[in-house]
Amino acid sequence: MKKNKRHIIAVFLIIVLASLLEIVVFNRDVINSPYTFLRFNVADNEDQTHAASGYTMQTEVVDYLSPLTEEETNEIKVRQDNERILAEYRGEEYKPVYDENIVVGDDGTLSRKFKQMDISLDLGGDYYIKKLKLEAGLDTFGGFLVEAYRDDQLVKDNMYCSVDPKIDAGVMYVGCHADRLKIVLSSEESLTQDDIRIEISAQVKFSLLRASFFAVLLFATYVLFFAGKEIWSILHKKPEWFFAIFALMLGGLIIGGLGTNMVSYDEYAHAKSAYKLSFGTTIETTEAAMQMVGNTLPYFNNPEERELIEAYEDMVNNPDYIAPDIGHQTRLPRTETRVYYPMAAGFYLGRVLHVGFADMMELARLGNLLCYIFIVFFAVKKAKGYQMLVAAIGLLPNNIFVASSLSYDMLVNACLLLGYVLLINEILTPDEKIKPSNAFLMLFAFMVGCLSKPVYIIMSLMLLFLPKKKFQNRISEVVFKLALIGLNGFMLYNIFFPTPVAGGDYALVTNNAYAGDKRNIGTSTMGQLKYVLENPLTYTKTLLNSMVSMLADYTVNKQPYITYAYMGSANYLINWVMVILGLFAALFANVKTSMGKTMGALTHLMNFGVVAIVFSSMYISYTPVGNPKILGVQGRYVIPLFLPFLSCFLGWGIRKYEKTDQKGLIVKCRQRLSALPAVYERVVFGVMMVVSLWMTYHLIILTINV
Amino acid sequence: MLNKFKQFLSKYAYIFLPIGTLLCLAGFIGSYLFPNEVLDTYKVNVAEEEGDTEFVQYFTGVENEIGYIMETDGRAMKGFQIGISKNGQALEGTELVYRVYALSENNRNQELADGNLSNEELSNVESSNEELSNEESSNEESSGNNNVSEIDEYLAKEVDISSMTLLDEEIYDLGECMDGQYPYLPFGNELCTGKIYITLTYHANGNTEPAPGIFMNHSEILHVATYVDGKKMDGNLKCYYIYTHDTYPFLYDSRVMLCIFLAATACVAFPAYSKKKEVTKSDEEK
Repeated sequence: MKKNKRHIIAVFLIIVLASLLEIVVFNRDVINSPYTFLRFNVADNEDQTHAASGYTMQTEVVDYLSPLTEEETNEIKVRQDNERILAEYRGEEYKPVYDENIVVGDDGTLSRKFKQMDISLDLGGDYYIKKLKLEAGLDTFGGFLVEAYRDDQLVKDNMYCSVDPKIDAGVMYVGCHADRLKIVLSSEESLTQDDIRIEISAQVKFSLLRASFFAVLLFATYVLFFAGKEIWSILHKKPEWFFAIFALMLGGLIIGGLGTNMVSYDEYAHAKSAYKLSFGTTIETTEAAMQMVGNTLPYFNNPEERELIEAYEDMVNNPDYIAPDIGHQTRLPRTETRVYYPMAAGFYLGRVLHVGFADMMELARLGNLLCYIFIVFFAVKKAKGYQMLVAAIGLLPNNIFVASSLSYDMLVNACLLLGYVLLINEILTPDEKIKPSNAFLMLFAFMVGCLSKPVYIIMSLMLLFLPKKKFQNRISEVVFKLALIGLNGFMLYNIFFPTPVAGGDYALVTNNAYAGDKRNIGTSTMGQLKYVLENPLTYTKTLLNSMVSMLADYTVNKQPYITYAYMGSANYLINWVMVILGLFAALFANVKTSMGKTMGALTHLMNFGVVAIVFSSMYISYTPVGNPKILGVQGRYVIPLFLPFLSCFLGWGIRKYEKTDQKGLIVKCRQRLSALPAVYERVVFGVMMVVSLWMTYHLIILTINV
Repeated sequence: MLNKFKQFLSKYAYIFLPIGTLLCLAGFIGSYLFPNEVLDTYKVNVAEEEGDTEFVQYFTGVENEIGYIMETDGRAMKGFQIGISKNGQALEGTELVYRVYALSENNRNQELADGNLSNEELSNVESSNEELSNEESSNEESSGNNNVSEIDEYLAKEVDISSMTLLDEEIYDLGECMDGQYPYLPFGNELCTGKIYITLTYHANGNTEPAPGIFMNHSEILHVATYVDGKKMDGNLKCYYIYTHDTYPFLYDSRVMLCIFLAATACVAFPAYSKKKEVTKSDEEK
């Protein structure tokens, strides 16, 4: 009772402290501000509340050409190449068409025509400016660059903010005192001074998200350092519950922080499939949903923009404002599409509850996260003695971020983790027979995990090396292994000969001549296969070079691995922190035996094979024919192989100890560590929480929530 | 409760798992035998190109005929959708009559429809046609567009229905659709394949309301032409082509689940086997 009281007081203190921290860290500069808002250039017929007086404003408009970035140029080239393929397929002649504001130079470089409005705003006094908002009625994207002056001295410069035509405004953080602002507004349209409004503000704004971040930080600190032996005993015995709590907190912060910004890998494409699946046979696509699947929803960079964007999304999501598009689909979705059910459930729930569009998207993400936590919870629970290794992989920031996004990769990571945990359990217990329920669950987990990425099913082939003792008799062993080969065969067969799709893409999808990833120029599945078969040695060299090059990138070439997708990455050194933590979790896991050298060697061979197949699949589908380097392979594709790799370090030294009765260093450390109160568990959870919270703070809170 | 359920499942795994295996096997075979037929829709000329505008070609009288020449993609076309303008009227009882004609090379279909071709002959004709279409597509890939020029030459002429054979004639009650909608107009004949000519007329059936119209735009499309009273127009119908194809929604599930159930079944300690093992063990002890 006394201890419970202590925990309750701790929770209360955490809430109070988190709220105080939110105010002190993010609002201390405006607590004593003499004003909240000031609006400049307000017309006489508009609301005069907060209208500024005593200021002067001058504007001048000039034309200029801005060269397109490499990314923009490439985007245009990819679009044109896809249009060319489509024209070729239809038997039409293709002529490249450019936007009217694009100018093609003599050397082929592309530039965009812009109009630049130089605005000089004398504020008429000295103000602390926290936020600056510029409103301009634009039809296309624009942006403005700000310089702040105080007593004619430049205080801050190079502050850029984009203006999205959908919200007709852009808001930026300034954070300094100024009496004059110089603003350069660039757009494709001719604007006059009357078309723009400027607002400065210095208002206290309590953010629940930021307060929640501090609460999670304090909670984790309390649990890992101050909670006491009783809690640590639970942590030692049932780490799966702590995994679930921490994962839910970290994922919740990511979901709450991202809102409708789609910053995960191909998130809009996944959003499209999940949204469609949330309907029955009749799909009602609102304008907001259309923008979501077309990846044209506005992005926010701060809470003020977020408010504007969410209001816009709710407006266009209203079927009475813009009539939704009505489409139809078959009642029976393709098997591969079923991986979207967790997200689809969130979209469905959002519609049923009539929540706003942003909340509906967050519910879809939450559905994904809960599904991930549920599966990995089970995986941690099932891991016999190496729970913390599985929990650490489950809490990897890359995994939590993907699980908190609209992406089927969540199911790949979670199910393969569960499947491989059950597989390791069988390897570590060579004298016990496989239970039918375990066999079913293990293969089912592998199958579900490989629905969207079938090449990983090869991981399950490790079961072929299970000894005879694991089976009831020779016949059951043969049947089991044949069924396993059949499962692998059927799943891999589906890559090359998929079950027919429903819908208008039938002819194009089933036509191998046009197969290839349309996000890249020059791809052709058939052409690349032909090239590989004709040049096997050259391809082997390309494959090995690419594999070694990627390994070197993440280990010595300082390329960060731990990422929140397009939001950014942790420092490169964190790669090594994670490697060391993984080895620590594996070496000091409380397992009773080790894998053995043969199984270890086979595991490494399997890992190599899977990586080679992943690289090859990207070469065939995503890389232009005959390219000397394999494109499109991302580090995240090897995440499912972390557990197989680290499993080879489980129980190191045990066999030697059993044979010679001599304790090696690892065995001695393991025994000492297990005698301390959950130190092993607290170290693993502590490091994962520090890395994840640091990334959340820098990449989500500071970037788009201040 | 959950533990009891798990115990129950474990106890009778030797029954559930083989049954599951057999059900998956049945599903595997059944999926092949009974595919799910779904509509396969293609948008044709529905969105306007930059600078183009949509317009409505109204029928000027019951004799007025709007025609459309096209070529199917090798499969039998199941129907099409066109945009109907009802001029703000209800048009209850007014009927849209659409007929499908085969161009000369499709006459064999009509022969079949009339019963002049046996099934054996049909399979011969179909396989030769398949070869022909393969040849055509390979020709198209290798030597440019021989096939295209042949069609374009035909499209340049005025259309003469007398040289064509009627494959299908259907009626659609315009009172059933909303103004501006693209209703599905199914074809009754399963042989609407190859180069076909579709005509549209209407029967007022005593209605005095203004005549309906069809949505069009000014785009020129290869292999396709629109005619009014047999004369080629500048521009084309906005429409959707509807085909069907088979999907096998449970095929993938059945075959992978068959393997999973089979593997799990292989791990079951069947009671008969266990008894036999016990007997052998006790014999050995004796």
